[in-house]
Amino acid sequence: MLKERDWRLARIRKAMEASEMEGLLAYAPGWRRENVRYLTGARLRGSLTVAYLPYSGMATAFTQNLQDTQSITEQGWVEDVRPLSFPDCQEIVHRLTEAGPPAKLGVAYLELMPSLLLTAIQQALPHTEIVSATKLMTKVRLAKSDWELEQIRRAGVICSAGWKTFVEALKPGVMEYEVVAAVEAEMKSLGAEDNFMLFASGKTEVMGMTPPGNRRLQLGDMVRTELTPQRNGYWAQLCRSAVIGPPNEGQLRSFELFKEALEAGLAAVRVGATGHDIARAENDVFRKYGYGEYCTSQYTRVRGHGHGLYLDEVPMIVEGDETELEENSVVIVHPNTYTPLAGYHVLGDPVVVKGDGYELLTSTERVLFTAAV
Amino acid sequence: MKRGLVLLDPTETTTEELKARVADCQRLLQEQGIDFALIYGDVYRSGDITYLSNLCIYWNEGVLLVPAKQDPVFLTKLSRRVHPWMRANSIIEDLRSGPDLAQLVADYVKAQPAGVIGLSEMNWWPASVVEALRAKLPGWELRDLQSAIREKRQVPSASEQKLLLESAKVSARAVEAGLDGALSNPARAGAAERVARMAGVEDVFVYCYESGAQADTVEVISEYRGYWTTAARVIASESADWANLMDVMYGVLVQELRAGTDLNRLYAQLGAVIPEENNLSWKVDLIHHTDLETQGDYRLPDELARPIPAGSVVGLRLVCTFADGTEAVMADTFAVEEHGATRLTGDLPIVRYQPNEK
Repeated sequence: MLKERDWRLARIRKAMEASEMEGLLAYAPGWRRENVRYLTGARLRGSLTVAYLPYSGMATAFTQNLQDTQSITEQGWVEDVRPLSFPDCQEIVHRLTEAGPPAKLGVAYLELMPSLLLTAIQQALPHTEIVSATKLMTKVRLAKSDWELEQIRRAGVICSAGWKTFVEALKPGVMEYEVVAAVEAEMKSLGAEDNFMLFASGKTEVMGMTPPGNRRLQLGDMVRTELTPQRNGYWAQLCRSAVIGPPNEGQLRSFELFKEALEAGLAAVRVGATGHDIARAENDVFRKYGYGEYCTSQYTRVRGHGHGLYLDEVPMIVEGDETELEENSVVIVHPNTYTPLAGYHVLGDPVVVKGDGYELLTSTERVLFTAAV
Repeated sequence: MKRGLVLLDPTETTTEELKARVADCQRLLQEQGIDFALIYGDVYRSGDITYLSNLCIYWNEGVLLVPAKQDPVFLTKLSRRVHPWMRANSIIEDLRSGPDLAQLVADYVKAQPAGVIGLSEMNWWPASVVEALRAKLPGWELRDLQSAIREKRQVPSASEQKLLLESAKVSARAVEAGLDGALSNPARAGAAERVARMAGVEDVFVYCYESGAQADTVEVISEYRGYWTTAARVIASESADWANLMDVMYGVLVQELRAGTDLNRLYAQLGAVIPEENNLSWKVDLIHHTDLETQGDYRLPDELARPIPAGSVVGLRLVCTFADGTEAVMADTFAVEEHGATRLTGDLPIVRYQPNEK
């Protein structure tokens, strides 16, 4: 595993050198831990965690949480683990200044860093230029190592199992949140650390997905979800729709439209393609059949996104995004949106970008599923 | 993550009660000469916003804007597509979406003469948003409201007490489902998660982990209708003597819980029962229900030192740390009264492994 750590550090330091950064500070609030996890390799539980990587020398991690201290230490990528105390933040300030303050400090998630932490750093480093390193880290994490891809493949296996449980749970009279409960239980028992999941049930009135409610499923409903389990830090997403009982004509036509759009998007995936290229390929299918207006911001514009240590990363698969896909970057292609055919429809698969194509990460069939009544 | 049942059920929390909370906040603003309050929240930490509106920030970030005299407004990075769902589950009618929270605030106040804006827990706001507010709202004073709203929540109303009790029952049942010596830790997590989510929690953290070589811990923190509670127990081998000691220590701490108790007093009680030959590290924490969503991590030292008031609901957490750095945890949620405390999570046991299980 130290080989994996060294591969990552080399990538970060190359990017730091290009940006003339002498130090990189990764800040992790409870909902954006990906950069600190990239540096430490450790599963984190605390609400606030920080890691510091000087251009030369060893990294240091800061945490309030004893379980995080144990997790980081056990992982062994960062040997120097220090407490994190507020409001003075003295441990971070001391680390940043002990070998002479950096002339330029990049902060990953500077945009989310709380005032009291940033103020303490600014006061301690009055001559340091502090800049955002969020995009730098996003770019560094875009192409995955073989080890990272293996983790995402495992998350993909949980996706497929979760979808199977999802379809099995669909019955008339069952409430939306009960379906989610069954899926969550299955995914957790398979080792998922977390799962992001949105849900919608009903017919053509459905305009988008949200957390589940207490609506009872009915015969003829189309039930939509995106499942996104996290396994060993890495997320993978699957989007599918299922009908309770036999699908109607609109639902069948809708599925054919979305399948063609998804496959057009996947056909555009290759190294060097941009998010724009893939989104345009998907949207052109909608436009060909007269549904182009449903690809605009009035409905749903985003046609997919990247995956990794966060579930919704660059590149955004959207017209106008010029981020180029790299070998071993991971994206989900999903032309999800509303149309009048069957209401909001979701269909998407995650893939690893490979040369002039891709590797599919899930084994779930690309069909309009039917839940037995 | 917040992917469980989200509801605004008027039989549990009336619209009048939610509006009264807003009115209470508005009285505070008027007394201090503040034009409106801004409360920042994200998918991880949004309790104050939920308290005032019943909104669920299931993704991304948002700001609840509470004018001193008008209805509150929710400003969010979430898509307009979810506005109908948010309206159906909250008392907020005016929802505004955009990628820049400070710009959404500026757009709201553009026609008003400069005045005072109160930022709830301003020190915890993203510095970039505070800077953007200053840049976009020249002439306006930004004032720290500190943790006034969170502190107000610490002593729950009668309807909140009912929801906290329900939440606590769910946390306890979820732990109980995981306390099975025959299961692996992922299987325990699955069992606990199923129980909590089937009971209708909005969010739940389930942690099942090794506690030294002889035990495992099942720890659950549940959010039911916006109300967080916790419970935790260990499954230990018969040879794990420390588990008996932990049970005794925990009992001593529970006996000490009453209005006015603080961490110092609990540590003093702990010190009296820790044997002289003890190679384990012990830690105790009291976390108000309002801070369980963040496991108490946002509390500053002065808050940690405060005695707990009568009527509050707190999580009591006893942590035993082993030489390998792993932990065993016992925890429950209590309603604190003048002369004692009622355990809302019921009587959960320490479970012993069968000889062939660990």
